[in-house]
Amino acid sequence: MRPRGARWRARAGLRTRLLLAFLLVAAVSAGTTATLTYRKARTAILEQAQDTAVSSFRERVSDMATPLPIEPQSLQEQLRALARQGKPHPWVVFAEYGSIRVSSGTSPVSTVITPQLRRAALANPHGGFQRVEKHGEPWLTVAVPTVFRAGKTVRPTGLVLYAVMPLSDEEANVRSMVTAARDGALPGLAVAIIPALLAARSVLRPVRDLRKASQSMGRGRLDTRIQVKGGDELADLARTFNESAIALERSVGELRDAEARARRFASDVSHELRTPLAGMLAVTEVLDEDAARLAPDTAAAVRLISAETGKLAVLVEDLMEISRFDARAAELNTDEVDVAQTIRKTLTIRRWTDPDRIVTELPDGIRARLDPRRFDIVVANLVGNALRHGGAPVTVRLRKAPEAHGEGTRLVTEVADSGPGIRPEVLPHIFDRFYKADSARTRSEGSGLGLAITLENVRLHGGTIRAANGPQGGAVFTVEIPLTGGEATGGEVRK
Amino acid sequence: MKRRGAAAARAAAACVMAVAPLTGCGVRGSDVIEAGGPATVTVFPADEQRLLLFFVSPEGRLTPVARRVGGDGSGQAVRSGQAVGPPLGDKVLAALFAGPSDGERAAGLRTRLPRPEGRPAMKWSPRDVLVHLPLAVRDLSETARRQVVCTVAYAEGGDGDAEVTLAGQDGALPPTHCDA
Repeated sequence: MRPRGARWRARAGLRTRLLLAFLLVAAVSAGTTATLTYRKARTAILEQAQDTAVSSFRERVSDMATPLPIEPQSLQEQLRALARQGKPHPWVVFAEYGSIRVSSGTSPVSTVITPQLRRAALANPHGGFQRVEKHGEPWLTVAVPTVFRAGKTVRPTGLVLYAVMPLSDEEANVRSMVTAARDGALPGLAVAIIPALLAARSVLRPVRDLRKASQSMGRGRLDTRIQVKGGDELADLARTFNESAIALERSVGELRDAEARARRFASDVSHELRTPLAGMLAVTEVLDEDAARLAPDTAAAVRLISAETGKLAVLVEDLMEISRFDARAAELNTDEVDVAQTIRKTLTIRRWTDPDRIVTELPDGIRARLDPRRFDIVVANLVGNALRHGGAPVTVRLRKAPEAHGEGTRLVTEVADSGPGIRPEVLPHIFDRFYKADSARTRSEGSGLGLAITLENVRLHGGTIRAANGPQGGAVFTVEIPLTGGEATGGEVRK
Repeated sequence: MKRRGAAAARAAAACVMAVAPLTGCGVRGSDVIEAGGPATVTVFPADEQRLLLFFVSPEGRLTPVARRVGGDGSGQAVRSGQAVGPPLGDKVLAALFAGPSDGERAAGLRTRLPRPEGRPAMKWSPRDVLVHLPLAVRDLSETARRQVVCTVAYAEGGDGDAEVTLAGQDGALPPTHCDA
């Protein structure tokens, strides 16, 4: 399970990416549309204004009559009349003839008309216009050179008329279009967020379902399925997940069945072996008693058979014990006992009382609800193991551990030996069944199931067992059992 | 993280590209754009009552002036059909060589022609005109020659498309048109 922050970031990332993609598409299309529309409209607005201005100006100018050279006074009168007729806006009209400059306004020379326009008007007998930005405002300047009919041809009179017109209205129109485009695009983008969010939701919900299902599967609920909706890729993914879950459930079920069969087989075999072994034990006891009277070779053989039969009986008993655990048939018969006394009894029964070999630190007065038989097995297995594989002296300690890490008060039993300790590579497997700590030693005195049975018994008490090496060397097995009793049945092994 | 940063940068660039054309523009300036022909104005006095003389504007352009025939001191009211007095064309030439009047000078018009020693003379036929000038025609500037050619082409009721040959003390120039 990932940390919460990372999960949030990943989800936000997908949603953010989808949102951004939607917004990007919306922005690009809105922007492109607005730009193209704006360009067209601006061109249309300007063209209309320009064409109207140029053609109406030329038309008005064509009505003029003038002597050559011009007479400034009368020309000014004419210019004023012309300026009043300006279309689409009032004009200021300027006339240039030779060195004479006349205008309809106060200043005879315009500051807006550019030298290029003057040159173009003088060089070609063509009308022309130019948009000029001056004083922060756009102006339209129109130049119309005049010609007159002379004989069969027309000749330039040398008189050029200029109309200057502010384009402020057109500018305002164009600006309002920009504003409109912007005001249209921004809500458009805002609206685009809604389908983006919906799309993100429709993608994220199946993803969330998948995650939950995976988590559920991870917790062991193999019957988890996802509801498949629609036919898109995510539905395919959900379908594939379901198929995988079915296949996994089937495989795990088969494995469990096989395991159960194997365990049942072991249990059955143990049961079947018990009866003949009981007979054999009886016989070997008799033979043992008579061994002294047999020939030495025969006696050795008889004793070997007797010893091996005993071991076989222990193995069968252990196998049956572990089979009961595997079948979950093991039951806890608890009783409130003084733990120190219980341990001492265990040691006494097994005649582990030599103070050189066994050192006990058993404070009296610690009472706990335990299954005395199982606790006896635990202590006996650990001490026996320590004596066999470790080295004397073996220390058995008992104490109460205070509450910590959300766990209640615990009963802690430690069995430490003074041997060489357990090799690190062995530690993780020390509680495995038939695990041989020393691969060279193929036959051990024990059944190979002692620690596994110990572990199962501790678990049954809701406790934990761990193996480690003590600071002075030597293996230390620590059993922790909750003092509150054995109602807990599940536990875990800490290594 | 890095990839997401790059994606965000790309997105931002695209947004800027999409929005940028909208913001930074209103009505912008332009080059000179040609639009239609010139305006044809009425020049008075009318065709028959005027003579056209060509002088030079301050920009060095050939500029016509229209003088009323027989009006001010430009020439006598003698029409080409009448036999008395020197031919009208000669009068026109004399007026041209006399230079612009005060009013025309006030408008900035000048002549590039020198004052001749004698009287210029003109020989007129339906399609071409020969002008004799009492000066060295090869020394005249191009503008000065065109002053004479155009003035002559429109004189004598001509409609401006006559072929004019200038001749002077140093020989004749190739025939030419006013519009050339």
